[in-house]
Amino acid sequence: MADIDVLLSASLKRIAQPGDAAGVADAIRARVDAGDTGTPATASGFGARPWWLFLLSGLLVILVAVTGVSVALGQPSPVTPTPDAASVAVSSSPTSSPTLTPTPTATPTATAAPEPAPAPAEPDPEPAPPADTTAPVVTVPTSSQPQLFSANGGPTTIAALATDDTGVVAVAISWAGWATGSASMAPGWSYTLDPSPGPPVFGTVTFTVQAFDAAGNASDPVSVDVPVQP
Amino acid sequence: MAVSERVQLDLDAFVASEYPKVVAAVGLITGNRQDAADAVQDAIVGFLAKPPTHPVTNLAAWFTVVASNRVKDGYRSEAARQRAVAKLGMPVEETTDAIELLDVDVAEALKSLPLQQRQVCALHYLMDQSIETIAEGLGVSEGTVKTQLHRARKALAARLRKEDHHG
Repeated sequence: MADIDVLLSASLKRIAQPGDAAGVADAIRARVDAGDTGTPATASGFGARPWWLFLLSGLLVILVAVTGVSVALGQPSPVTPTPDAASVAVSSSPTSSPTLTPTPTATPTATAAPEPAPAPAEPDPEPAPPADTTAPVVTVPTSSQPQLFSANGGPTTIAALATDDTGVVAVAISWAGWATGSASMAPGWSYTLDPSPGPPVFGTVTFTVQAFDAAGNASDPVSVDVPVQP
Repeated sequence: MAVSERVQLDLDAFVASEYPKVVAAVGLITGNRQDAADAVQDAIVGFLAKPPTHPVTNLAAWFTVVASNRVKDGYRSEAARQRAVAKLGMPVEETTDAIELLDVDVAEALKSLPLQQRQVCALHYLMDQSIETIAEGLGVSEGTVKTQLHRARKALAARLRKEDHHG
């Protein structure tokens, strides 16, 4: 392994092209004095956001979306069809029933009684609603962005605004920085992160927020970098 | 002048001694030599404009990482790759010099590494920083740096062996 160390060290030094320092210090001073803020001093910790974080948050988000879909599918069915069935049943048996007192004695017109059967036969399969292909849109308003993470600052809340033509069922949030993780935002779309792992030496926490609708359409993810103050 | 009062960064000294190396490292890490200098300067401007409250002990490593995280990854773009090879001044087909061939292979192999491993490689092999210094400068554990470096070295070694067979 020692050989490869020597080889790499020598090779990288040959390949790399040093920057030209001429005039750079003055140019930088001029920019700073002109109010240029450059790349935030607290920007970006070691390494870019790891790919597996996106994968993880993606999986979580799919899970949330799927649960959302099954909940969404499960709820309306008992609600809508029921009144339908009821109205059909009522209208199909009018000949006998209106005048009859609906008393339990099954005697009245024996012929009328067995008739109403057809009602359930046509469960009116709602003409499949046009597929929802419109993705939600999510934003994190500047006013809802934490300005700074501080070791003594306690929990920090980030809020998102999510809209969709058919309704947003979930908003997933993931973060990377001194700590990484992901979660589903609380209804109203906010999430509170407690920086309990302690302050990093430097860096940012990058929050990524993504909204989903019942059809599983995902919004473009939106990322917000929050500087960390040890 | 107002700048130097606010931070403990001797801008002139840093630019004269470290800046060229940082630009070299960022260019190497991202494969985007064109934007490397701009990104490093942006990072320095950002540092001066709004200094972090925590002292940064290893500015070279820190600027390298901040800048290389921000530069568009040139390795993703085939056009940039062509430019990079061209800038090396060694058309692959024509050179017969063993050293140059090796460098081309190393540059190629480096491309296959994840960003984090490229960053550690540049800091360690190009800037000659120890694992301890890198870890301290980046605020990560030595284990993290060691792991990244180990993986990078292993991948590069394997890759170079393969290139050897082909050549």
